[in-house]
Amino acid sequence: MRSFLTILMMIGFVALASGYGTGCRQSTKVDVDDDEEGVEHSGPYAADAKEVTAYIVKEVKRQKLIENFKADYKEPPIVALITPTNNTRFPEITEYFQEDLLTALNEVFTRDQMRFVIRESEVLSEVEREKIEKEAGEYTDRTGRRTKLGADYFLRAKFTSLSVTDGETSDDTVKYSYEFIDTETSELIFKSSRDIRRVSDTNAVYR
Amino acid sequence: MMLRNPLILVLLAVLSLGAGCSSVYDARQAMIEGGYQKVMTDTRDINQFPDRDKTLILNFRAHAKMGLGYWKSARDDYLRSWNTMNLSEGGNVSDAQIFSERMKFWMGDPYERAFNSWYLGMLYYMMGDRENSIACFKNALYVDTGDLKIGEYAADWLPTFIMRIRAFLARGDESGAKMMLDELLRLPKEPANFDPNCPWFNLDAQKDANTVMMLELGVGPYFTAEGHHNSVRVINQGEYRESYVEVLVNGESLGRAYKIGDTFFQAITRGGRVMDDILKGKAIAKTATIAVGASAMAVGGVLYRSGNKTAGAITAGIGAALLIAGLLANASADTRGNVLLPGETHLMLAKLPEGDHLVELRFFDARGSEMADLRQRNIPLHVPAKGDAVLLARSRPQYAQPRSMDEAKADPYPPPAKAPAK
Repeated sequence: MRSFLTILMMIGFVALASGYGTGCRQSTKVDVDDDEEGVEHSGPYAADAKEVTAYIVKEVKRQKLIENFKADYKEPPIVALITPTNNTRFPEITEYFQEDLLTALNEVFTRDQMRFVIRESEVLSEVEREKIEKEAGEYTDRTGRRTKLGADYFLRAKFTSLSVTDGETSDDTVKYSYEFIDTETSELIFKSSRDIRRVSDTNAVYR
Repeated sequence: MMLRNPLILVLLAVLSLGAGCSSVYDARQAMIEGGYQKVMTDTRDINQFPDRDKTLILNFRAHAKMGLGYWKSARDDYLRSWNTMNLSEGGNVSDAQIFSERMKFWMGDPYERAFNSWYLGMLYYMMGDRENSIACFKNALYVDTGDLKIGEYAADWLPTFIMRIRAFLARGDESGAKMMLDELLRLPKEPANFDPNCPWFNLDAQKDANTVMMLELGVGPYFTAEGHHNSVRVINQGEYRESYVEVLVNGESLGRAYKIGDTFFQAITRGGRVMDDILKGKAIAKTATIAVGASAMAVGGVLYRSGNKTAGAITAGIGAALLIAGLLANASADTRGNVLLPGETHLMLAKLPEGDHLVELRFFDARGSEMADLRQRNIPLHVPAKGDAVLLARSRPQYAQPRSMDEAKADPYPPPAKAPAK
């Protein structure tokens, strides 16, 4: 009889343990660059934004934008960040990226080297508006004091994704492209992109 | 007698496990009792629901908030559930394979995922966030697509096509809009899915318009479990009478809207579910295991009574284990689903003068008789100088339309007003 009760207790324990999950959990602090930890998916990770942001900062330095501009105008250039275009299937990534880029640029460059403003519209219409407003003197007050920063460059990012699935695997390649545009001449100063591909096995049991 | 007491305890434990698996919020009943307000109030504390149901509950709550005009709060809930439905791995899968399918985290069928992305995109678009709306509409198409290389289903739910076209045009991306239109025109002209006579499936008509109305009719499909051990999930069509809708603006008729989406058609035209095969296997195994378990217990009982107490107890124990395993192996299909979705989506595209207008919607049954109790008057519509005026409305239950963006962003659960100090 004792062995029978033991068997029953073991069965009950196994049933309850498997039915009620893993018990208490505690969150763990993980580096944002660590994309091995956490939920696995094929969408953009924080590490991707960090990687692209670092690349843009490096590219700005490599192009010697600040040195060239200062040589001509004796002042630091003013860069306007345009709201990125999102052609991926992932909402909200533009906000994260924009915030990340703006923070990174401000951490790398001092106000004597480069200054930043934000514009929330299309590049071409913004170039046009920037010119009109500069010509109309809308960026200075009556005393000649600058009240609104007129941008010298636009930095615009565009995210495009190739997303494919066979019903079991999600395969997303996100192209993070970005360009520097001269607001006076509309000249494309430089343009570059980074492709990041992520593949994830979605659980086949899920319908 | 001594054998019976522990058995009763075990059976009670089994029953309590089963009861825990079936606790799903009954949104249909809540809608009958108190409409969107009741659903929104009932689901305020999302933590009172099991983890496995939270994503479904979030979809209910988001829909209720949207129906009451709390767009921002609805968008936040849709986004939260979007993350789970698109970026998470789910959960409790192994438990679902052994015990009940309902134990796994609800993530929705492809059409439910498409609706989640679609509503999220609509809310972004209506609140002026074009870029995020484009991403959502793209995802709605993505989750509605199978493996095209082996001839599986392709996205064919037109509301997402149309809104993506509208958003591309608003961005100034005419080539993007044309690409979507070309894709739309390649779809089979299936009247059960959409009305092929819709006159707005061309770029000129799309460019000319500045007003888009997405009008929802009826109620969407729901699931029942039928067949051997309820292992077959049946998709049932929601019952409703409304068949088409006439739109009037400032008292003048714009004509009928055209059907561009059928939720039941979307629900039934998908690739097979892997879980169905597992459920069939479980149904067979369940019957066999219960039979073997019961037999072993009977043999064990005979051995026990005949003096072979140890052998009898072990045999009966193994029998009990098999019986419990058989009982725990719940082969019932998962009938959880988003029951707040509409039956159909109709489109009205128009060009209206800039400014404020009043819209009236008249719903008709298939015989052409107006269903007067569904008529909606004085729906405010503001046509901006640039971009689209968008109206998302429903026959029943009606959606409340916020009169301003402040109303759309209002807190659906405002703190109670403080009593004036005496």
